[in-house]
Amino acid sequence: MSKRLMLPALVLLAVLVGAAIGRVATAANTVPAGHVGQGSTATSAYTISSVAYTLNANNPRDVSQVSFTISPTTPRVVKARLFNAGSWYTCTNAAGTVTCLTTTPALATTSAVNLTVIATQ
Amino acid sequence: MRRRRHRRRGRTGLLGVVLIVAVGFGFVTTQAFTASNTVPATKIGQFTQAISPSQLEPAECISNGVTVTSIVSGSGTITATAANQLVLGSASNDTLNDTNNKGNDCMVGGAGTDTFTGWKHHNDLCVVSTATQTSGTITNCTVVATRP
Repeated sequence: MSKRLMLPALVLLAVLVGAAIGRVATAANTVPAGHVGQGSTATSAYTISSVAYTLNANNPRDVSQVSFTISPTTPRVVKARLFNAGSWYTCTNAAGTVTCLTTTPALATTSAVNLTVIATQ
Repeated sequence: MRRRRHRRRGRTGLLGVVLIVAVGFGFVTTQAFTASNTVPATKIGQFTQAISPSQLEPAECISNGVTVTSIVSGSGTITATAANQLVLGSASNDTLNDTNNKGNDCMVGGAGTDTFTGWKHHNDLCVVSTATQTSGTITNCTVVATRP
C-alpha cells in the first residue's frame, strides 16, 4: 500500500475502532428490572368508574353485560372478567364508554363476584 | 540526520493526534445515534373491584327502596332464604317466593309465565315478563318493571 493511501486508511480504521468502542459501551447499558402487578384504581394507568351490570332479560340467572367509563379514554384493548380465573371478555370502547358482552361463555349471576379490567394503549 | 528524525517524530505525533481524534469521532457518533433512540410512552393498567349483590340488582328495585345483600337463583321454584335478597328466575315458567317471611326482596322472573308470591307486610318488588303480566300470578309484590 502506498504511503498516500496509508493515512486515510488508518484514519478510517480509527473511526471504525471508535464506533466499535461506542457500540460496546452502549451494549453494556442495562435497564433495571421493572415491576408490573395488580393494582387498585389509584395505581392503575386507567381509572374505571360508573360500573353497571345488566342481567339477561330472558334468563336473569346470567349477566349479559358490564359497562363502565374509562379514563384516559383512549385504550385500544380492554378486557374484563367477573371472577378470578374466569373467562376474559373482549370489550368495545366508544370514546371512554366501555361495554363488555358476557354472553359467550354465559356468566352466572352468582359467579360475578370480582371485576377485573385490563386496558392497554 | 537530526532534522529528518525531528520531522519523522513530528509526523508520527501528528498522526497519533489524528488517529485519537478519529477514534473519538467514531465513539461520539455512535453515542449520538444511540441517544436518539426513543421509546414511546405507553399505558397499561389493571383494575380490580369486588362485585356486591346490589350492583347486580335492577335499578328499579334500588330506586324503590330495596337494596339486596345476597342472591339466590334457579329455575322451577325459587324461595328467598334471607332478607333483602335478589331472587332470580330463569327463562322458563318459575315460581318465585318470599314465603319464609325473610324481609324485603327483589324478585326477577325472566321470560316465561311466572308466579310471584311476596310476604303481605313486606316491600317485595318484582320485575315481571309481559307474559306474566298477562297470564301469570302476582301476589303481595309490587311490579317495578316489565322485562322482557
